[in-house]
Amino acid sequence: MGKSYSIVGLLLTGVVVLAVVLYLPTTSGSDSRAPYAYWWAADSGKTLAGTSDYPNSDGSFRLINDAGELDTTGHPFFSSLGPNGRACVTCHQPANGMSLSADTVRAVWEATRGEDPLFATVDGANCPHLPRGEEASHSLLLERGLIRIAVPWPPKGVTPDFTIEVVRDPTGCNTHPVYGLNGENPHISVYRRPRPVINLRHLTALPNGVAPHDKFLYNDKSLLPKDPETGKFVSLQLMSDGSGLTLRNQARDAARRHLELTRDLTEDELVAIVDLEERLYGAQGIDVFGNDLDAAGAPPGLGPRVLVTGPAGYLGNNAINRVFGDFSMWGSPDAHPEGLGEEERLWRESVARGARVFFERRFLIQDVAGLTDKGLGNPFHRSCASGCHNTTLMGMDLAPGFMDLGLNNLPWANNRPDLPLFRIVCDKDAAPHSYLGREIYSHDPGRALVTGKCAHVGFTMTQQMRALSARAPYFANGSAATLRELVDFYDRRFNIGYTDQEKQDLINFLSVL
Amino acid sequence: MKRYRTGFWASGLLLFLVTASGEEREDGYVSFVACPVARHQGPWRDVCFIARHEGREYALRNPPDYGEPQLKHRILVEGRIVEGEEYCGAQLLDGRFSVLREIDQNCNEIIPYTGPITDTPPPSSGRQGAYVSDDPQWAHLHPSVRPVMNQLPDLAVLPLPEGPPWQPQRQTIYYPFDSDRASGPDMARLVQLVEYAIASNARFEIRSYQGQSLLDSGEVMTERPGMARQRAEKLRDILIGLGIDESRLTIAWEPEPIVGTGREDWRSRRIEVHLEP
Ligand code: HEC
Repeated sequence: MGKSYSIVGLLLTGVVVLAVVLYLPTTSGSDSRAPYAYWWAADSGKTLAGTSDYPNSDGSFRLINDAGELDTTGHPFFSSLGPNGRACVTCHQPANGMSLSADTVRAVWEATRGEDPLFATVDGANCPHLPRGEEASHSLLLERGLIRIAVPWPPKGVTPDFTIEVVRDPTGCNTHPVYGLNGENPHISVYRRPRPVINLRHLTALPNGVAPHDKFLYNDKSLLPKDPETGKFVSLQLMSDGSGLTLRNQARDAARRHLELTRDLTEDELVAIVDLEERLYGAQGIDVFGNDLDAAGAPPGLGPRVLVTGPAGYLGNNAINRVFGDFSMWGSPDAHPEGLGEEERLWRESVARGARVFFERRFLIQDVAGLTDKGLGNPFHRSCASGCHNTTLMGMDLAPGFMDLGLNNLPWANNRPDLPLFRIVCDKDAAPHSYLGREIYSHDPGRALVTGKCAHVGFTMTQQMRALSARAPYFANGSAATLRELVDFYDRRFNIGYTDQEKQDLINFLSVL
Repeated sequence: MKRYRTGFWASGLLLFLVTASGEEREDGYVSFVACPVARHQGPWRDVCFIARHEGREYALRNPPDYGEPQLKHRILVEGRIVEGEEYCGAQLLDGRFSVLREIDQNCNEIIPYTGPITDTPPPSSGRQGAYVSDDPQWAHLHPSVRPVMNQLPDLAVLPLPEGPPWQPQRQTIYYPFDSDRASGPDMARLVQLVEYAIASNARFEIRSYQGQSLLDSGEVMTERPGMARQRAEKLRDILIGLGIDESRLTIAWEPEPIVGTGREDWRSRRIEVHLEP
């Protein structure tokens, strides 16, 4: 049993090794194998297997439906419920870790000449007024995999403590007389990546063992919100701005927004959607050398199987619990099985080193509003895992981790002339943003669009780290096209000074999650 | 530019407390505003913070989760000198640091690592404490993904009796200057009191205060008007959210700040919680 990976692994290794440079085998996320072949169209009536593998350039993503095989005919997640022909699956694709990769978007564009309902102008175009079918109208979706999210402004029941104006409007949507900020029905349009609909049981679990943060937000020690239907506290991990609250709530909202459904989902539809979402698990299932990551002998935190059985909502930032577990079976030279090829040996050791860099290599985490100002101190000298990505098996922040990492706000954001830019000024009495003060330039005010608080401008929720190879580009606004760009962002943002080897080790590690 | 409301409070007491400028006070207390300075403690440890005042370096250990100092912000330091004890390579104070709200770009100094400081013990509790060191010396422990987090010490709170006879209970929650954020351990304790109150059908009374801080310079810092009320209302919402019936809750706040004395003025910024079964 202990060596079950090696047979498959060795067979495939020969093929792969030819194509890759020595222990730099990952191209991180770009899907080289005709992504349209795996496109799951709305109403396709296909059967979702209990376990299915979808190739990507780093191996394969594996999706588990814990309820077993599902005939998707008529299932509300897979059916076009509304008038625009889309289903939930349109943006939450099995082959893409139940998210949507930009490669897939481009393949669907090519194959359907932009006719697929994915490109519905409501949010599959930069703005609904743009002519459908012209590439320029859909550039954010085609290039970055971004969906338009129109947020009513001000949010219902909230009096914002800041003013917001549009400084730059490359999509034309925020200044548009109908869709814009000064329209009759004012909205702010921001552009975000679909988040993966897998492992949601882990995402919605309240944190264990960190009382009182099973009831309190870490940041300001106010209470977590409650599920309006059950009155129970919610984990606040759904959606990049925490607006999801519960899966039921989120599904209702998604159906109206993305499917343009003009009625509420029925109770049966809601139950079917949520029941499926709670039973979908996913992670990279096969690595670039063909190792089955669920098999014994592979690091036990890898593969989707452990997510099915593993307890949810534990802190993994310590020596006893490591976020993604132990990698020593790949890391120590004497642990390798006999006859393992040189390239694969180097690959495994690189992944194990990457896991250590992720877990142990500390750097000065500085000026991250929502993190270093919530009691931990600025700077906070921690590693990726002990700083923020600390939930066992998942890698998001256990206590709801809204923060301004620097992706949305100037001056740290990557150069993004394609995104709108807003100028935000805090009211005189409002608490300012902890490190940017009272005047902030932002591509996406994030959580502040929900709370109306100036101090929250640019905050987004840390997301799970599984299935990365299946769903480039990364970050909520798609700023990193590859895992390399993702690592480079951190290196630049925190002046970490990773060596090239450390970067490659990290990338290889991320590619097997 | 003054970023907080200030005033001057000249009095005999002040003259008595503060000797000629540039010299240390004689009563063993300090109260000042300064930039925090971070000290790098090497690859495996958190940074620690000190502050300089009147030619001396001071270090404070805030209680867990009360709020560590932040570069880009000045801090209000209110403490008592703990003779003969050092922390972070500086004179240890017993008291509180408060991070001031507005940004100060001048506060940006990190002392580089030059070698271990032996006086700094690891943090003891709170979520920071739960971050058991990721020092490689622990790396051999439990190489497993099996979560055993609940075997680690939880935020330590004393157990309360589970049944009658019910006793009155008290808790005092202290807040940083101009802030309504209570610490995790304080809220963990509050959750316990809520359970106790529900079990014993007790009445909750909360009384909230705001304060002034008299600095060694003679300057007086006054919290923003309405802080006591803001703290009280936030705590009320928390108690109701945790299941306390509004009819069993009395809240009151003192709108006038408690006058600063220059000695542990942080104690003014508080809520007193009283439970009467
Ligand atoms: C047009 C594309 C699109 C369609 C169609 C779509 N979604 Fe999404 N979905 C998104 C985007 C974009 C996000 C992330 C939004 C954000 O972060 O603010 C998201 C996020 C989610 C999340 C949150 C996951 C997480 O980790 O936070 C869930 C759950 C979800 N969608 C379920 C659904 C369901 C159910 C449907 C069908 C009713 C659906 N989606 C249809 C684009 C889509």
